[in-house]
Amino acid sequence: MNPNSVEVLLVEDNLSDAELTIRELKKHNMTNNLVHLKNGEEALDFVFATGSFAGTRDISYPPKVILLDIQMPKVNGMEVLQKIKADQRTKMIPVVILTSSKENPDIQKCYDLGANSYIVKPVNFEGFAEAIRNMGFYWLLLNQAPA
Amino acid sequence: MRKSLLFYIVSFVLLMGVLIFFNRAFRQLSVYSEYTNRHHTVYNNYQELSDLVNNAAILTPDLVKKDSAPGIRRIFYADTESIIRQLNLLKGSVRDSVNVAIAGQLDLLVRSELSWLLASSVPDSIIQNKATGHIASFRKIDSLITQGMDRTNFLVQYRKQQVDTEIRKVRTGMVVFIVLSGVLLLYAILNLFNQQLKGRRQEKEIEVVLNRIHEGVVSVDKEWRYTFLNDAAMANHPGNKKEVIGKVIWDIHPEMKGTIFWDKYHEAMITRQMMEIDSYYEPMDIWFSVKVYPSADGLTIFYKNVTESKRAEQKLRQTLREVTDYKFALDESSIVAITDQKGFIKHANKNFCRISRYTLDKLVGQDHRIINSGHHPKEFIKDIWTTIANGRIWKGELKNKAKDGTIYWVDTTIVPFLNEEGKPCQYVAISSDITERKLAEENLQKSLKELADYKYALDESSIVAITDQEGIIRHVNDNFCRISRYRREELIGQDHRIINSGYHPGDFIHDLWVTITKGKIWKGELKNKAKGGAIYWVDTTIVPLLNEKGKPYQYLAIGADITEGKHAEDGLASSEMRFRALIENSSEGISLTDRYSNNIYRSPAAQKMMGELPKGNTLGLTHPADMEVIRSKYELVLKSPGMPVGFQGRFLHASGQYVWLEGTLTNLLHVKEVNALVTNFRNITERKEAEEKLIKSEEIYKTIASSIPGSVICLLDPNFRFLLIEGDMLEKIGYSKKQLLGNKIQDVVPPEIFAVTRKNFEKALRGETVTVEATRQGVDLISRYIPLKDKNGVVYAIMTVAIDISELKQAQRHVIELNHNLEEKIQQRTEELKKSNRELEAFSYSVSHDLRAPLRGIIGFTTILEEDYCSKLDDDAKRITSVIKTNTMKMGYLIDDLLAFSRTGKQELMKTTVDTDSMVNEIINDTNQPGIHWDIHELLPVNADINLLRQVWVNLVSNAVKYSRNNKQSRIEIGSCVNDGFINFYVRDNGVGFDTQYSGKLFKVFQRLHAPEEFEGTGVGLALVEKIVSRHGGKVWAEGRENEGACFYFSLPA
Repeated sequence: MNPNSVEVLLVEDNLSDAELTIRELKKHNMTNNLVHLKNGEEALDFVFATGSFAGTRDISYPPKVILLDIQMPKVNGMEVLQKIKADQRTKMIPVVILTSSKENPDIQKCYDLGANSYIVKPVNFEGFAEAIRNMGFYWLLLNQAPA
Repeated sequence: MRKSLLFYIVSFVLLMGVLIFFNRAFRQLSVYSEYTNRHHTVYNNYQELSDLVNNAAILTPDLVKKDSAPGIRRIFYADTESIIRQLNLLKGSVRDSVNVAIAGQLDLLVRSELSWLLASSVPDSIIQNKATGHIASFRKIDSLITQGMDRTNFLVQYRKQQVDTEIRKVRTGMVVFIVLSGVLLLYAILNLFNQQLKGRRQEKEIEVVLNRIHEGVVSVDKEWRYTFLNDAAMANHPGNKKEVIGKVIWDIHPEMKGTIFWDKYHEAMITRQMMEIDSYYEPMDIWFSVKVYPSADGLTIFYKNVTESKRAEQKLRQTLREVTDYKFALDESSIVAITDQKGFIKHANKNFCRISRYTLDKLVGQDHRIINSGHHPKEFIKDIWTTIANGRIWKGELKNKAKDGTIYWVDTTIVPFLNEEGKPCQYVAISSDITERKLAEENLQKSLKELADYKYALDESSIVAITDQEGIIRHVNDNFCRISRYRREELIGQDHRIINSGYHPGDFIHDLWVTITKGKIWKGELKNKAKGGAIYWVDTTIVPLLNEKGKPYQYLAIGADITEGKHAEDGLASSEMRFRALIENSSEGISLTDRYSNNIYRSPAAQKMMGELPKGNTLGLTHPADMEVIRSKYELVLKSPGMPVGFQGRFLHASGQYVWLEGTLTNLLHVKEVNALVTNFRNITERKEAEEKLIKSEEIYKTIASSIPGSVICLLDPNFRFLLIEGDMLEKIGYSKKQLLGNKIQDVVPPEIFAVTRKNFEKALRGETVTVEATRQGVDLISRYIPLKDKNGVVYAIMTVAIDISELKQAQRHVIELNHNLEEKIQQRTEELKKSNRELEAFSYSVSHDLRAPLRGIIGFTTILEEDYCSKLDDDAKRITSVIKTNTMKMGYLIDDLLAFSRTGKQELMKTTVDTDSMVNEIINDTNQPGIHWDIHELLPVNADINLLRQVWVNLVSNAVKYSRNNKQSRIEIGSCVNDGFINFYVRDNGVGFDTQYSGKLFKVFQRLHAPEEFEGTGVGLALVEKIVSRHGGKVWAEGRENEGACFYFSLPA
């Protein structure tokens, strides 16, 4: 896949959750241009076209949406969000926070940092599937990205 | 699991197959054996037949012979009969077509060839013919028999072969069976072993998790033997795990017997109920928080060492108690008031109320000026406010007015309390009542003023001089200077003899000195010499001033100029007329009496002094108290003619009152012209009274000065010599009256102290009033140096007043120290609390995040299994996947509920006024349950945390819905009422209710009264309700009966 035509960037260290997410998106044909990265460091490299993505990616082709887990080893979701939203070139990329945590300070902090959505992954699968499906529909099909 | 099931099924089918195969083979075998047997019989029959036929054939030639004996024939016949019988036997035994045919042929042959033989009437000749012809027939029969035997033999062989095949088959089947069952057995064993292994691995995993947590975890079986201990638990157990496991808990911890832990563990073991213990464990000196869960065959005990937090709590409680004690002490000992930053009284203690005579409710909310006496100038008040408004402490004395107008003085310390911005938010005034001291001070001032007035009057009217006991002049007044014509400097420090005229005889001077050195007052006329030699007469009274031993240390001479009168006396001395005139006009009373003191003559002045008295005994007029002295003087006079004897005493006036008279009595009986005792005297009543008054007032001042508790009052002359010392503090600060009085301060006080106090004395000497605080011998003193000035403003003495303020100081220091310590402790506690809150938050975060993810995985993948492998799962498998999902969901709810439960304890309450009515209606709409009859009464608004209160309502309403859903018509009633300062809310339903004896368990976490199959739930909901309500300071309770509905109540402070 051309790394410049990525539509969905999924950053998730929990492989089970990642598989479930991808599967649900695939069900509705929304994984054509999906990239799954397993930690925050890779995600930053991808978005800013640095590190292992230097040369293969162009920063001016942002993904349509980034699905970001908060709790990750090394660079966590909060830091990734902060860096993306602090950079003029990348701050308009929609970032959807996916997390198990319902804890209030996290939600507040994510919105403070400029998160576009905050989705708590419910334990029940139907809820989870529905959340992922709605999120995919909204950000990939309904939402109009800036030109 | 399924794989092994499949294997078992396949194995079973195979085994069954083998068994069927066996069965068939056996059946076949028996059939074949039977056939074989039957063929054997046939063969034997053939054989028998063949033998019989051969016998017949052998006999035939004999039979043919002519001379054949009838015996042979008989034998032959018998033989033939046997052959026919045998043949019938054969015919009966054969089955196969070939043998049947052979047997038929045989039968035919035998019957045709032999039947005739049997006819008894056949003649021998015929027999001979026939027999010869039928030897061939016998051969034919024999060959047929041989044919039949061959056939049968073949059949036997064939069947034998078949039997062999079957036997081989059975043998092979046997081997397959044995091998198959062997494999099956092995697999079963292996599977069993594998499962055990798996179980053990799971145990291992649980063990790793349990070892990681900080709580101690211990499991025991029914016999109290340890089955498990985690790493944390080893801290409280000796040796290593292997040594402990298997031992009885009471052997390891024998000291536990008799403690609450022993009781509760046993209770848990018997009742199979979860127990919580939060108690001090003396043998280890540790506070434990313990949870005991009944497990499969014993107990699992989770425990935590909570000693530190318990100790901290106790310490804090103690500190608070101390602070309360201090506050109590302060309240008891001092007058305390608290005002807000604007000066409105927020609080006043008992003492304050008592002294101000207001009741507390009259004071609170009032401006502090309610007790303003108006005594202090505006600047003074302004100074107080600027000091305390800037956050500094103000100290001073205030004059206040009580409710009834009484004035009282308080020594006050006002301490401003600052808010976080450093601005004062309230003021605490601590005072002690010093009204008495203040009044004493005022009185003292007044008396000092009076004394000064007397002195002024004396100075103005008289000639005054003071000498010390050596006769050195220490003080002279202006009149003295004027009459003596010396300047003051020329007199001070000189011997009094500087004005001695040398006129008076030595005896007279001696007498004077004897009188005054004895401490008695001397009166008399003195002829003195002024500067330049001029003579002047002074009527003088010398008053010795006595020290505490009664010895004179100074002499005060008060005189009046009588020079002119003396000159006149000299001029008239020669003439009696002149004498008479002199006597008649003298202001001194003169009287003459005979030796028996009967009156002879009284001058007009005397009559004026004594009143119109009848002639008679004058001695009898003496006051009884003075009688003895006067009588002795009288006797002395009688004994020593010509010598004037001075007297002083009270005598009866004609008006009936006593007057003080002073004078001399001279025995002039020996002078012919007089022949009488001559008395000249003056009325000194006024002076005496003044003196007495002076002594009295001095006594009063001394008494006042000495009776002010905790004080020392001194009077010093400008040379810093102690003139007067009073007060009970003197000895406390290391001095004695004896040591100081009459001495100069620099001679008796340690130089280092004099160095400090000197400047204060010098300031006072310059006319300033100085107030200082100092510490002497550990006693805190407030000292005031007051200059005493004469009318010209010259300082003639310094008064020092020192008051013990140790107690006040100590109280102040204590309060300051206490405040300081308290703040420090509070800060420390706050830090600790914050830290533990942070840790708890981090813990619940990781619980909510990390425990959820695997659950989601389980449900997600189970759902995939259901969706994508639907066709491959049978009904049971589908049921099992749904069970997995239900259980996982349940665990999810449990985590959510537990989190909510634990969070409730630490969340800060954000109280607002909550519109309960609309909140409950919203919740009812959200339940979205049709067919329920809702009966909602008025719900009062309440002050509470809106989110927590919503949780309470959601839990209670959803419970009511849940437990009444089996009713045909659910009926739920919700209402509120006010009761004794609380608002009570209730939710009543007509559902399954509960058994009242378990109502105590309703609000405990994880306690349920219904099975999960009946009504789902985690057992946290009501516990959460209880926790939230009690955090609001309210209560929860419930009423209900089984199958008759339940009513849950909670109350919140109105």
